[in-house]
Amino acid sequence: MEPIITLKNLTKQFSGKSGTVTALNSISLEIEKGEIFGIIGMSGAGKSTLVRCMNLLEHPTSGSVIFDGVDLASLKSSELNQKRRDIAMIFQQFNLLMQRNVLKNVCFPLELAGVPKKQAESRARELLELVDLAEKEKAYPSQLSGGQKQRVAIARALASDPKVLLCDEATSALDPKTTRAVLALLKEINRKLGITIIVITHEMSVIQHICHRVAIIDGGSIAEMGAVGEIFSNPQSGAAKRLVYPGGERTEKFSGKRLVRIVFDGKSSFEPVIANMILACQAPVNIMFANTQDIEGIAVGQMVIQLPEDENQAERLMNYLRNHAVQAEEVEEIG
Amino acid sequence: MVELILAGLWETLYMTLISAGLSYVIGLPLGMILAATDRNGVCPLPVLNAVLGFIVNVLRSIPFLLLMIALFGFTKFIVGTNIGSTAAIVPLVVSAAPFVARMTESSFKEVDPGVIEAARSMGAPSRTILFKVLLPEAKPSLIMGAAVSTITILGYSAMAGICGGGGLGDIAIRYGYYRYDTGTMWILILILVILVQILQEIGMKIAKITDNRI
Repeated sequence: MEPIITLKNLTKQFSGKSGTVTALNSISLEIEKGEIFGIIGMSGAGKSTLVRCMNLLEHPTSGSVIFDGVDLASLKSSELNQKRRDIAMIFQQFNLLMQRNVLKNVCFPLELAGVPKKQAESRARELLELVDLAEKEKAYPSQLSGGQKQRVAIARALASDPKVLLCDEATSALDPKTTRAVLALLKEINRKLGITIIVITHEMSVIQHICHRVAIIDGGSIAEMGAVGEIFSNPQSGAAKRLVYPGGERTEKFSGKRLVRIVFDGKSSFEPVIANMILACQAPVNIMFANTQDIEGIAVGQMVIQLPEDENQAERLMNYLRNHAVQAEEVEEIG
Repeated sequence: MVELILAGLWETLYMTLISAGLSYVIGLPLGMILAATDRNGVCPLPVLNAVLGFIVNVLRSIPFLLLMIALFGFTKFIVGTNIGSTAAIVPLVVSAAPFVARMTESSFKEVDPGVIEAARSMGAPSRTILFKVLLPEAKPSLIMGAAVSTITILGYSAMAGICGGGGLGDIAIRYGYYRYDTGTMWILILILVILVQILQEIGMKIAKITDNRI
């Protein structure tokens, strides 16, 4: 498929009092029509600058931005303004016009395009219907919650029938529940209207929820790019690993000698014994062998776990098992 | 005496309100240009901005009383006389317009840059951003600024009384200063205080009613 946005060797430098800072360093990527593409990175990685280069809100120092076959930098400013109607954008702080009501906010891009007022209002009402805010058309932004504001912003962004929707940290100011609702709406828009969506975020969960492909930005460069599932299951770069395992990767080898066989006789199978034990003792165990059977509705079985090398931790775990009346015995071998 | 004060009140209101109106005719566009041509404005033109900024600063740094005397020739050329309330309007406008320009500029700069960025992302040209985004979004702040400007002009108009501009200031000086009639002077001061209160209240009320953020 033909890409909708192609970035070629995109570099952006800011020169300030303390010298030149390279925010983006030779970024090349292609975004396919109709996909939801995620761009993730820690704060300061350059992802906000990157998304602003896609509609030339920031002019790249070198390299090119090709949108739908057109090099944006080659356009005159009036032509660029025309093109920008195809590249809508929503923001972390919503950026609604505070002195206009909801309906008038959604009408704004249509006013810019010279659509007659009546026609603009009926289109705006359709869009408010789509984002489920039809009853709020007379309200002012200050009367809305964060999630509602973002939905108005989405309706406004869709008013110009864009081909691409850029989302700059669009859920970062929202609580988790509202975030899920807004992400579901974006997914629906992508599916129903076929709009390509580019999501900038610092939250891996956002990428996981809606993106097809993801690029990880670190220090102004792409550290890794690929299908979301692949990056999640097998992160290669340091930046990807930091995002996938935010608490640090736990790959230290488990070493321990003492083995314990636990027998479940049905009494204890209703509570998650092993999980509770790990939580209570704050010590890891290694499951070497497990076998449970469902006998007349009662789980019966056994499990062999390996205790950690640390004697204190091992004792704590053994005490826990004894105190909770679980049949446990130390064994020499598995089986 | 009451008639004298009423006539003075009328002259003061006439000078203040006409001057405020004319100051906005000049100062509002000037302030918009200052805000727009700023380095971070919607249409950066640093040279024009520096030149206009310099002129505004020069006019603002001349004390009103001196400016009024310095402008005698100019006033005579425009109004045909140097005496009376209408003549006082000329120096009042010359003095207040740059003040209004700065007030306007700062109101425009208070508008959330994110909103301007959003408008730019929608393909709005600079002129549209100026009139359809900045002006309406700055409206409550502009109205508050108008109250402050009008009160400043009221204060200047009292000074205009010294040079035959008429109004409450003129009466206060004639009775309170030249005739040692402190009683009359205090009455006039009280009227001026009440006027300031009323103007400020009206400004705040209108700003509040027209502001959709609350």
